[in-house]
Amino acid sequence: MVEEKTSSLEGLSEKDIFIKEGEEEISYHAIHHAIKRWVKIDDKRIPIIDTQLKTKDYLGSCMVRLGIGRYDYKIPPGLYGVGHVDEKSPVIVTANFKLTFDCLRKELTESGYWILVLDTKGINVWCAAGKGTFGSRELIYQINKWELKKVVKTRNLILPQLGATSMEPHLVRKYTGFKVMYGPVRSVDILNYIEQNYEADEDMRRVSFSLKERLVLTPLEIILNMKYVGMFFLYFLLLNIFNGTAEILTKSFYNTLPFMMANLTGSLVFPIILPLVPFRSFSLNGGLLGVLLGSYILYDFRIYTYPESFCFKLGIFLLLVMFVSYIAFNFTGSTTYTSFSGVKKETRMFFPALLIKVGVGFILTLIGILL
Amino acid sequence: MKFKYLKNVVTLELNREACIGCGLCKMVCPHRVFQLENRKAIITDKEKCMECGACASNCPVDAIKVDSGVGCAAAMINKILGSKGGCC
Ligand code: SF4
Ligand code: SF4
Repeated sequence: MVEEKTSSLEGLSEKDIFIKEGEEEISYHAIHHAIKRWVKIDDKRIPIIDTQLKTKDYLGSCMVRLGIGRYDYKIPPGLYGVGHVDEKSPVIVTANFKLTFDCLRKELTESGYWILVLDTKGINVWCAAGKGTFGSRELIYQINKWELKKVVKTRNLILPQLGATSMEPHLVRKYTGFKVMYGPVRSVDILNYIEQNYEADEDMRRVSFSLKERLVLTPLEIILNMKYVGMFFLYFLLLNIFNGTAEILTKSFYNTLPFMMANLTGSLVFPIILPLVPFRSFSLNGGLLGVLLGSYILYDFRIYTYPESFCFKLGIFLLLVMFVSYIAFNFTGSTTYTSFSGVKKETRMFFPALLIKVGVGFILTLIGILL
Repeated sequence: MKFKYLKNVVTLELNREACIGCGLCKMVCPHRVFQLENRKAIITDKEKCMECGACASNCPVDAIKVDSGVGCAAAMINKILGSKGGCC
């Protein structure tokens, strides 16, 4: 196991489960603009939030998708209300990632719902469930902290189905008296699910990975992989300085262009054509795309102001293939279907080969320059 | 879903003897791997399993074993390199 789950309650005393060290005063800063009013139950003040997203929320979600200030988008964990809440309103549990929270609240209506937000460190439900932060322990902690039993009469909680990974419903029931019920995978279906008397149809329970779901991932992929493009730029800069060529910056820019194209091939084209790729292994599919791109670059080699040397051509080709292959392989972490053992196996097979081939690629370009 | 990943690697195992037929595994699985038959769970298509671990964690009688974890390449590379650090 790569990361230990933290959800298991084995061997913990009641004190460990109910009390967390170093709790701070809650600051509602991140969600302030969405709070409509407050309700007071005993000594607890609970914010009632808007179901309409504002421009600020849409802007925020764009920023998150682009990877800008991602961790500023944490919602303070705890209890929230939507609409005319009372003791009969259903309780929905979610993660404290702002996008997740916004997706949920915009689906709800004024008829009254409670939302219990778990502290998942600003990470979405599925990833957090995989890590164990969206798990039994945190759920039990928040239920007790907010004395949910005093707030609602119902003893049912609606969890997103993808939050099931680290949940132990029998333990939650044992420690809190609440019954875990799994709602649909996607929050668009949540009202349907509640209307259908807490029944989800097969389609609501199956994860998908539609073109749209793949596309929203691409901006962040492209941006994250820009760091490698930057490294290639530095490499070419050094080569050009060493070579004493004129117009070093322009030349290095043209030298790096194919690697920018490789980034787009791996981060954008690959996710788009994912259902159509021929192989099961992601790195092989990426490699294939890399060969296509590399051949095209070799065909038009002069545009990119590379030295006319066979070794150099071969090195560039190899680096391009491996770059696209690596990006595609990395995408296994973003899909909704690649298995843990599968990725483990592919990592073991692919990673050493990657290091060697990248090394050979660089050496070939150096030889190409020197000879 | 039409997507496929590496074959014959999935570690999912079900102990039908222990199963009490509560149906939770069937409910939580995002790839609909389980069905109930004669009041006990059965695995319908093991190859579809992504080893998320939801079925095993939710089973009240520990009838399911699966090697689960964060299936993220970045985390695994970090592990090979011996450094900590995850993904997402
Ligand atoms: S590990 Fe996840 S995908 Fe596999 S059978 Fe269990 S719930 Fe389904
Ligand atoms: S969760 Fe466990 S006990 Fe319940 S049906 Fe599945 S295998 Fe059987």
